[in-house]
Amino acid sequence: MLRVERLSLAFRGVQALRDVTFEVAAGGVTALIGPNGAGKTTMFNCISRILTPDSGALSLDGIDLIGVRASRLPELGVARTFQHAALFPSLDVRGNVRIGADVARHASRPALPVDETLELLRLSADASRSTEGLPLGTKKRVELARALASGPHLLLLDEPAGGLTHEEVGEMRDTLLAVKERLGLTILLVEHHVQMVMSMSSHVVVMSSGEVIADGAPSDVRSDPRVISAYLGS
Amino acid sequence: MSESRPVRAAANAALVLALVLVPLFFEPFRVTQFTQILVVAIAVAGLNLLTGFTGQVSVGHSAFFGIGAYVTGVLIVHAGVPMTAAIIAGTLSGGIAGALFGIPSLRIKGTHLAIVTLVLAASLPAVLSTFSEITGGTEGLRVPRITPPRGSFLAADQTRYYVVLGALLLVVLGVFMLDRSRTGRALRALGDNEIAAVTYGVRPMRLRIGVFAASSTITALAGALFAVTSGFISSTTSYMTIVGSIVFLTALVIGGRALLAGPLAGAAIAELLPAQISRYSPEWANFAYGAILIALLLLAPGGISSLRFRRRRSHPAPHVLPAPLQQEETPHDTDDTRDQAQPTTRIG
Ligand SMILES: Nc1ncnc2c1ncn2[C@@H]1O[C@H](COP(=O)(O)OP(=O)(O)O)[C@@H](O)[C@H]1O
Ligand SMILES: [Mg+2]
Repeated sequence: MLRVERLSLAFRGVQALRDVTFEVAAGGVTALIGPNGAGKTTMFNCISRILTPDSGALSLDGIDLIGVRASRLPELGVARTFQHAALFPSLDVRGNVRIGADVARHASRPALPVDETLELLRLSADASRSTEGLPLGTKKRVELARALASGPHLLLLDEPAGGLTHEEVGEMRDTLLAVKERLGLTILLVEHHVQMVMSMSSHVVVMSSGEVIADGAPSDVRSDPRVISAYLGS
Repeated sequence: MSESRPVRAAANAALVLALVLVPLFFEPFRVTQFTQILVVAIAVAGLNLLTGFTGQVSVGHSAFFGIGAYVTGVLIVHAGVPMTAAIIAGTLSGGIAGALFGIPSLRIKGTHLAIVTLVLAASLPAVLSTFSEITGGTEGLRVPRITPPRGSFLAADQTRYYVVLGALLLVVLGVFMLDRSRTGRALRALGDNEIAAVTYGVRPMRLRIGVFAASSTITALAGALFAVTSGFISSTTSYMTIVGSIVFLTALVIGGRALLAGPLAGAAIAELLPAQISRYSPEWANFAYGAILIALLLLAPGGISSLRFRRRRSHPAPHVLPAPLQQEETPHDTDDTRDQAQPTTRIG
């Protein structure tokens, strides 16, 4: 579904991505893991076209994404969440989710109705609350609801369990698996929570210092000596 | 929220009723003065649309007011255009000028927009003087005023008041509906967090030009109505000089975010207070605007950004993460200084 080929990007002096190549298969959960600073969020920013890579290719179902503007990506069925929940505080919870639904309507794509999305993520009671001051776990659910309401085919999740309590991590995992089944999503997941990654993903890509150091089934990647040393070394 | 919404609706209904009744109980001199306040309130509502949605400040709205007033006045006086058509033309001219000046507002934000619009405001009186053959320059232009329709039981001053009140209510209703619409949501999202908004399909260019044009259209309508209610415009009319922009801004800051009550209260105070002061010492009147504006900006907790339309907080907001924990990798090509005070708007 998504192909990333030899993607490179440097910030003044820092090579954040170096010849990154991997593929996200339709219908699966691909995990992108690696120590802090590995380039995972930068990779997401390239895919969602907030950043333009220096070189390399990026395609979604054969469509070249490099030539596509960031604001057109949701129309193509790509939705993402941000590492630090980037909600819209001047809208209430429902308003945030409606922003996603507006995209689906604009692209005339079937999507869950807003109320059903709120229900699914246990947000109905908070629908008319301000997003400011919500607990982090709730903010993350609002972000997920906003993404789902846009009716995506490909969902990019940047640390959906980051900062959550042990219990909330379990809930998030169950929620993600449930919506994935129900909506037939393809997921690219950045996550530090090892247990969550291993139990959810069909395919794991490991990055370190901007490079892909391992790529394969969860069990293979786990025992890869390069992966072990990258994690211990950081 | 569930209890405050009906309360607010009732308060607005009472306000509208009071506004409708006012001219029936005051002498023509007062009604004319109130009409002028309503005209200023429309101009402020226009500015409120820009500042409320984008947090941007324009010091150039006196120019849009002036364009609206002069296009209307000149068309009526020199081209014999019917009044309604001239008002529409004046209003739209302001919108077109706003769209042209909205384009630089895409690339520049905050203080820089203020400077571009300052130049605009400063040049209008000079332009008017240059074309004094048709504009009358500092001598001014006498414009026919709105008259009551044949057989009407309203006096001329009351007719003018109601026309302007009707325009104000339509404008406020329009802004209210815009805020509830998909475009309004997109505008709020854009003001909160540009990158997240773009990621959800919001197109900043179109929205920013559009909102600047809509804002200047409304202020130009105020100018057009000024011409046909006051009956006299000149390049030294204070609303068309930089002083006008300062009056509108002062009124905006005094009135705050409320869509109807805000511009009204702001316009009333900004109009009446300096007039009171100038009765004792005329030379202090303009100084008063500046002093009020600066004081209010210093006192407003979030400065100009506190004037943005917001979700009312339904409960006190404890910060979930202390700011230092949110230190973040913002993409290198954004320099949105506006958001620096808001840790929740960082991108990851
Ligand atoms: N906007 C930026 N400007 C400069 N350097 C950046 C920027 N964003 C990320 N980086 C750098 O790129 C590298 C990768 O960062 P990031 O993609 O955030 O890693 P991860 O998400 O894997 O923790 C880090 O060294 C980081 O400091
Ligand atoms: Mg990251």
